[in-house]
Amino acid sequence: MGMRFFDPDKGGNVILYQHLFWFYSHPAVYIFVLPGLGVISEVLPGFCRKPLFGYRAVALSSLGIAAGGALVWGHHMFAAGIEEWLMVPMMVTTLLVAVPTGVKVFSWLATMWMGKIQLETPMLFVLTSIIVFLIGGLTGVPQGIVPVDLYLTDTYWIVAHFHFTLFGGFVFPAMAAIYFWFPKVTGRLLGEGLGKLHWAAMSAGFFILYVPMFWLGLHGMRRRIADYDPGLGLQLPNLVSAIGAFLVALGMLIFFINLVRSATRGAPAPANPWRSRTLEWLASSPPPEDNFPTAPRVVGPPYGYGIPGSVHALIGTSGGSGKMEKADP
Amino acid sequence: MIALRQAQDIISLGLVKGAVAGLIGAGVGRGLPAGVRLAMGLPAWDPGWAVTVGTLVGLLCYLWGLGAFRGWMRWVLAQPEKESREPTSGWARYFSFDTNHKVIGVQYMVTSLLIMAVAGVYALMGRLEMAQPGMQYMGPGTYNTLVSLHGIMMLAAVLIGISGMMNYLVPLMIGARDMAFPHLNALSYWFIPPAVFLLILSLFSGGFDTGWTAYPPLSVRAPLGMQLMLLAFYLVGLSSIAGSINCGEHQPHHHHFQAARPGDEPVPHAHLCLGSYGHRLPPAYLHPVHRHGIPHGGPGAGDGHEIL
Amino acid sequence: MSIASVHEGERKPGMANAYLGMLLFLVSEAFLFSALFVTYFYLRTYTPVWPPQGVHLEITLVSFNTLVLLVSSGTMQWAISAWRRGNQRVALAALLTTMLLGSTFLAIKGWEWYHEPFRPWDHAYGSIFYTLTGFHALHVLGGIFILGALLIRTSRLRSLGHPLAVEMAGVYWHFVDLVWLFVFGSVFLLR
Repeated sequence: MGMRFFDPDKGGNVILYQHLFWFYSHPAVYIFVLPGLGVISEVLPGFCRKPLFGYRAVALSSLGIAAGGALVWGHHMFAAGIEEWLMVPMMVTTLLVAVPTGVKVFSWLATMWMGKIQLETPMLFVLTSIIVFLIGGLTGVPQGIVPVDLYLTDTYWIVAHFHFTLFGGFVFPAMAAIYFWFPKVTGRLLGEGLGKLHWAAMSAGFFILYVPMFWLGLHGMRRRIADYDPGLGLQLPNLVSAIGAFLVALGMLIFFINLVRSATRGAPAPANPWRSRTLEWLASSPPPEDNFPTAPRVVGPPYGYGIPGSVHALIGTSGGSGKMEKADP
Repeated sequence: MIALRQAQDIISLGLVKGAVAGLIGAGVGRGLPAGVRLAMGLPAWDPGWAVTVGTLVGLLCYLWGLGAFRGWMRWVLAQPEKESREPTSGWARYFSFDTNHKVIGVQYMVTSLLIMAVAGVYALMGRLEMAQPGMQYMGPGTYNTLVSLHGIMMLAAVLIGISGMMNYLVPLMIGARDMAFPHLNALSYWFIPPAVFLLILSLFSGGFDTGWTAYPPLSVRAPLGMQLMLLAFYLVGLSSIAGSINCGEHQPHHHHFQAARPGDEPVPHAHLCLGSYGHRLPPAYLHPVHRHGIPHGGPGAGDGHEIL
Repeated sequence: MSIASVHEGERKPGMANAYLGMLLFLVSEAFLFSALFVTYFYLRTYTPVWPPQGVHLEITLVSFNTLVLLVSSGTMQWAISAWRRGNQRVALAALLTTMLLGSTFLAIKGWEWYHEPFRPWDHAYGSIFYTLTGFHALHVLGGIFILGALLIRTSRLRSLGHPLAVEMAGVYWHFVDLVWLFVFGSVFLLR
């Protein structure tokens, strides 16, 4: 429409675009992963039969990530020609924002420690999420350091990094979430056999697809190019990546088949197939139009798995009919 | 007779009515700037303006056909609540303007998975092309467009997936009946299908080769597909702003359903709501300048110095 | 399902759902305008001649227009207090006056734009000038629509109910006025 904000010949400035763009887009990606990390924090305790370790720290760390993540956008522009006085603070904030993220990972590990691990499909995806997200986060650190980033930026290292963080922070947790809540939504169980097959194909395929990209980035392969010189020795990793991509696609195909089959012909699900404690499991599977006949009463913490006598919520009048959550070993 | 009944069932779906109204509106909208330009003494056809006004008018007509405005019109005219004309059971609910958070949650999740599948296929095609040096299956422009669309569509799929999980789970997790503004919630969802439509259309309108980040000056020179992608981006942004207001203010207000002790809420509830609201602020920030600085005409457009 | 609240009629402590929703919406709009302000000041910092040659701003006219908008915030507040007192006729009159003042603002703005010697595509200053004032004008237009809808509804009610709707419209209108003060200060006074 002919506007000149970014047209240098008319007084505009292309860096302005990048500042505005990344001031949004960087917090955006932290926000993308926060719900997924929440899913991990939600699903993990149930499958370890142990309360979430350090609940308050986990909750506060989300605020830390959201706040810190708003201050790091310049790290997308280290090579764009921004002023030096801006690069160093952005580097510092970028490295600092790893701290609240690390809090979550330690909390999850502590939750798993000495827990009774149940390896159903949702848990398999949660475990993969944690490992993949951790690698994603760790590979972000070199990029946060300005001189290193000048070599890594716009290469396949970056592509690998953000796919690790996005798969670990959103995709794999979303898979876990779907396997976890599908019974509640549809009233049927998702096939566990196909689920495990989906998990295996997708996880293996993911690593085969993206690990070669770290190598490619370190060897200077640029991103967003449609072709590359055969003499550069980049072909084998690219070929391996392609194979990994097809394996991921196969996993997703198995997933879609499982979804359709289970939605139409799956085994009927009880209200609480995972022996979980949060409120949604008090409603039937699927819930009626208004969710609960009367508002449930919360009487204790939601993650008291394995603690004898702990109760999260009651439904119905006190002493009357209604389901009560029992403590589970 | 059964076929006629089924045909009637399909035509009466909100989505179908909306789509028909939207396409007609878009056609009219595309013509409007041409009329204005002729009156101003300029050459009639400018692809940038045509597409923008067409999208705007088409969107409004689509929402009207969908039945999105009915509730609000009733409020403005101070009419009493009426029995909804929308289907209340069965699969037809999921193709109509339904305000129940569980329906909306499923709509979002299914849409998210579909977008993820399409974007995944684009990436697969790109990976196949890159498996060997040389261009075997497509030209560089197509490759760049596929990669760019993969990026923006995956972003949309993530946003929509989060909205879906949030919509379905949050009211259940806090013992509520529904979200705070069910009508606004449904509207948020229905911004998405036209956005997807625009993204797919962009592939057939010359695409764009900038990557999803669309940096100028390259994006200023990009073909019409760039324009369509940006319009789609705005729709998704609008959807998420509206949706996040729902969630963001849902949080504090339903605490009275909860026990007094802090820490009695499940973690993802907080994550989904706070994260969703915090996320939506910046898109409002990004839209106007980004939008106006980038788009421009279609084929034959120059280097950004053209006069409107 | 009523628009205003899922739990209509329930007594709840604190702010009404819908009002908080409007506040949250206004926070996002604040972000939108802040992006435009950032653009204005960024370009201003990095451009040697700002405003560029050939830009002449109608300060007197725009100052008068600012006054028009300020008065309209006053009449908006008048509408709210009339509503709270249950006075339907005065509330309607005040709403209508606010709409007329808002329309006057837009008309004057349109005249100002028409007579400016520069266009949005002439240079970056033009782009940000018209985008900033243009987005603001769109918000004023939106406000006029909201007030119009409220006017129609209020005229059809037999008695005034809870002032929630008019209070929401009020805070929106005051917000738009506040944004204008920043625009006026940045673009026309500070330059």
